[in-house]
This record gives sequence, C-alpha cells and structure tokens, in this order.
Amino acid sequence: MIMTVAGIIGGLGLVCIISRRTLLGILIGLQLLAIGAALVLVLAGVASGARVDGQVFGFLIVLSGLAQLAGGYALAVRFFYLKSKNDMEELRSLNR
Amino acid sequence: MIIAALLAITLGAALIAALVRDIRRATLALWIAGLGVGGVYLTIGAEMLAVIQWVVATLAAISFVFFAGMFGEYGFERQFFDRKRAVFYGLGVIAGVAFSGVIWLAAGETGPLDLEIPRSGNDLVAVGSFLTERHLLSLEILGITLLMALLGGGVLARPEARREGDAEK
Repeated sequence: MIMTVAGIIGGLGLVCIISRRTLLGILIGLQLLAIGAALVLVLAGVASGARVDGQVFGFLIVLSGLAQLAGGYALAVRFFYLKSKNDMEELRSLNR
Repeated sequence: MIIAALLAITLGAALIAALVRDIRRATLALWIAGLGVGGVYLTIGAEMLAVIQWVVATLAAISFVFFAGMFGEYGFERQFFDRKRAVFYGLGVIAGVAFSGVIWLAAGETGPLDLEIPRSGNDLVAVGSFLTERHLLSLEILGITLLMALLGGGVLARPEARREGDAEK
C-alpha cells in the first residue's frame, strides 16, 4: 500500500514531465519523480531486510536531484536571457 | 496512523504540484510534498535521509519561487490543456499509470513492510559506514556529477560576450 503510494507520486512526476510545457514545470515533475523513486527504494530496503542499502540509494537519488536542478536552472537562465521565453516548445537551440 | 497521514499529505501535495497551472502554487505543493516525504523517512527511522530531503526540498522550493518571480508571466503556462497536445497528455497518463502499476506489482513480491524503528537505535552510523566502506565509488561519482553540474551551469548561464565584428554589423 505504502509502496504503491510512492509509485503514484513517481507516476505523477512522469505525468507532469510529459504534459507540462514550461521548463519550471518539467523540473517540478523531475523532483516529484525523484521523491517517488527514493521513497520506493527506501521502502523496498525495509521490506527486504536491507534498511541501510535502501537508505543509501535514496540518499544518492535525492542528492542527484540537485544536479538536475542546477543544470535545469542554468538552461532556464540561458534560454530566458536569449529569447525572454520559457516555453520548451520553442527551445531548439541555445544560440541567438 | 502518523505515516498514513503523512503519506496522504504528500500524495495530495504531489497531485496539486503535478496538475495545477500556476507554477508558484505548484512550487508550494512540491515543497509540502518534500516535507511530507521527509516526515515519512523520519517515521521509519531514516533520520539522515529525512534531514537531507527537507533541505533539498526547501532549497528547490526557494529556487523555484525565485525563478518563477524572475520569469514573471512566463511562470504561468498559457493554456494547460491544449487539444493539440492531447497525445502528450495521454502519453503522460499512460507512463504514470505504468510506473505506478510496476511498483504495485513489485510491492507484492517483497516481504511484509516492518516499519518499526529497530531496537538497536537509528541507522545513522550504519548508513555512514556503509556509504564510505561499500559505496565510496558511488559517493565519488555523485560528487563529481554535482561539481560538473555546477561548472556546466555556470558556463551555460554566462552572459554572451559580444564579438568585435557584431558591433560593426
């Protein structure tokens, strides 16, 4: 039951990534997916008797979410600086 | 009971974050989802992960609010439901249901979920030693990935230098 809820949170992240059009919306979806995936791994570790392994993998996923945030924000700043737009459909190149 | 309440809050907040049109409200919901999942970690005895989750969720929320303010009107999606993008909405729902379904099926294969905190106390020492003794390479790769993301972000977000030829044109 609890793992299913974690799966639903990750699934909502996927829905958000695919259906949203702005970069910030996509980053919100990625964060939701990371939250759901980390929770699934931690709970799977508890269920299989390997609590520490699950926590370590959850730790790695949560922190690697920071890398996607940094990259995404840099992309957003660059794109907004160049074209004053944030719509991903118009992101074809990072040149003027 | 507490864990059920925290999961309900997290799920509700995740639903709002995924579906609401206004990016700032979605950010607030994402922050609440992060705090809620941190509470779940705390409840099952994963204190370190709980603290890291709270810190990351708060940092992400502050940055999202900052960027939503910076982008102004672009923080809003012009039209969330667009008939031209019906295929994408359908694909998103299919992917989300497939992901949840796989987790649901896999959850049936695992053992019973014993959420009691071990009598030996918290897992902080075990996590630290496990991380440094058996997953040191993973930790190093994570550190290098974060460093590269930082450097790459700095390069991407740099102001464009004007060349001399551009001024003449």
